[in-house]
Amino acid sequence: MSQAEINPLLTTVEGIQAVLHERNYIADLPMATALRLVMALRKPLLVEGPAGVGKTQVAKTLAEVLDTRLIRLQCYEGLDTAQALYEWNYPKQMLHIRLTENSGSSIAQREAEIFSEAYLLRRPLLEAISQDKPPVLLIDEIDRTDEEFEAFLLELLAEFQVTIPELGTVRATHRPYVILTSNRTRELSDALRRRCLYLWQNYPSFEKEVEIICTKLPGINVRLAQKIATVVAHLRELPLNKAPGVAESLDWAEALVSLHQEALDMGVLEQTWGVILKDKDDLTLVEAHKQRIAELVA
Amino acid sequence: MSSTIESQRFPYGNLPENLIAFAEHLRHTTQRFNLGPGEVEDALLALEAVQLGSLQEVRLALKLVFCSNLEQERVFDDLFFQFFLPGRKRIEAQPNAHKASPGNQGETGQKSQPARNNPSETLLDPRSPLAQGKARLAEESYTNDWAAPLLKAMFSRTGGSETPEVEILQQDLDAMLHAATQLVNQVRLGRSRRWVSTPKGTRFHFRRTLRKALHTGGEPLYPAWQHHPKRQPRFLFVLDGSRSMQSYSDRLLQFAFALRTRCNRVEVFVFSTGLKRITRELEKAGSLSERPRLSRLGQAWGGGTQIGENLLYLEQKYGGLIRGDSIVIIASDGLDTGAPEVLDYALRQIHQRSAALIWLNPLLKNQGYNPHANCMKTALPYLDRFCAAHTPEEYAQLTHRLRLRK
Repeated sequence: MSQAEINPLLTTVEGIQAVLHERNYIADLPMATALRLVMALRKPLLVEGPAGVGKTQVAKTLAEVLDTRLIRLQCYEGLDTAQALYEWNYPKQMLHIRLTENSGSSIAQREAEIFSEAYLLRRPLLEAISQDKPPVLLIDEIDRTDEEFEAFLLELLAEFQVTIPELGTVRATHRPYVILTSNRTRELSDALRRRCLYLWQNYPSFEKEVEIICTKLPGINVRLAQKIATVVAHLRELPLNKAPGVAESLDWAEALVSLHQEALDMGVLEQTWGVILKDKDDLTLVEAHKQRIAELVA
Repeated sequence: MSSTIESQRFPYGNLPENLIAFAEHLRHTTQRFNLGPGEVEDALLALEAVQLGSLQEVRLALKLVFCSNLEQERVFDDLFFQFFLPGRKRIEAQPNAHKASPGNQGETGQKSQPARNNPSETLLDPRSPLAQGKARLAEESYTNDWAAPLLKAMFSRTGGSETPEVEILQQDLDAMLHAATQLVNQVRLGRSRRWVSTPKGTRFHFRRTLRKALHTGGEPLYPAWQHHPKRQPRFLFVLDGSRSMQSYSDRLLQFAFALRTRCNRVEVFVFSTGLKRITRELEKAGSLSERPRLSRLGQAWGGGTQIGENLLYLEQKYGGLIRGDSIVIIASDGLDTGAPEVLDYALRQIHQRSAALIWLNPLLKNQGYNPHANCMKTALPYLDRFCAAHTPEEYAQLTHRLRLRK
């Protein structure tokens, strides 16, 4: 089923922006264009940017928009094919060996039996290429994996196929929409980058951040949302170890709404620093810039 | 590529030809866009998916296909306008002389200037410390007439256009090799989270055990094991090759050579007014000659010092080499002519990415020396170890009881 059949709006960039907005995701033009190309070219999209700018959220929203499954692979150091691609069902295989012990079949025959699809446990990557309807495959924080795993991904991202030594090559029934995210904690290989469309997702502009806050928290006072966006934008200019992202802005806004605060003042700010600043050194640094922040709040 | 010649030919009669010319143009910039026919084909498909009448959508679509990293993404818009709409050009992209086709030299009648390997301002936002620092430096040198010739003198290399060959010191080389071995062995990075097969381990290797069990009627008589391998450290040694370091550089270079000989996961850089990666040269020097020597170090040797700019360039261009298992060793006297903001920014980035940051300052051995110079004051908060080393024994102690952050 093509995107036009799902929703004719998905065939234009403006349409994609509108559809995402309906689902409370404010996509700027580069992001909407990127999603348009993901759907048209069926190439993976690599989204890089600081933490908390909505990289993961875009994949979730895309799955909602396309009314399809979101298959997520959370990457970490040490991730290997057994957790990402497939694993054999060892207890079942063991049982089969015992049951066929006296069957008279040769070792090669028995080996072929236990290493067949019936004994295969599908992990996210294999799952993503075996769906009846193309899913959205989110490979989150790819920069956390080892280089070996990154190299292994190349075949999947270029050909949408994987090779299982015991079974042969498994080709995608339908090409999934692949979104990879990276926080740039390490440099990814050129080979991986060349297989992807590339998008740098930075912190949003002031106006966009206010719009995001107001969209996600419809009951919030616009002036409060503006103050939040102003303070957060200032904090991002400071050399913090962990700069607050949009996720932190939203958490903060939600916290202030929960505390029934209609306006920001230094007292409230000091009580709620913990929602946006997650590092002791950052708290000390912000303390040194208190006067400037007080001016902004005023 | 000559822009005059390009403008005579451009625009071509059809879209594919124009895109091919644009891809060619991008390949010859300092950001080294790695574009082949596949990317051009993707670009054509991408343009089918967006409105060709919208300049913004066309630009964004081409950017998504042609860029593959942040550095390229930041300069793409300017390169796009420079190529397609020269009237709207905002900044000059630096032509990459290393990749420019030789034929162009004859057509313009001039040899292309080699691209400086200093970080381009276009790589960073104008609000970034680099841009601000550079602007301040430029402003200072503009307002102070006396500063310009001084800066020029500081940034220039010692006489002659070619740096002489630098020989690796032979005295105490064996002791230094031994020190390098000790230094590498002292690093304890813990174990990786990966699982690898081993004869003895902590976890069953089910697949192997099962295969072996086929031969014994399903009885796992010969279990296979897995365990977490030890994490091997990486070293990144950055050596200040400026004039002020001349009396110490022989020993430091010998240490770099020894470290590279003893450990495969070592990258070595030298810098002065420019930065150069010399890992491969050190390898060759060791394998081909009984008296190893390095040549053609160019701007990375014997000139003035721009520590911040070179470290920033290192972080941006070779950032992939600095990882959670990397120990970065910077050897410099800290006499910097650059803006401290640039150094601060660069060291912050390196500190965040690496497992440990060591600064070797040979002046620290001098009685009465205090790190009060701007550069050292800026660097100190980011350092895990600040020390001096002159003898092989002292080099061996560099990583002794070093607390790694990752």
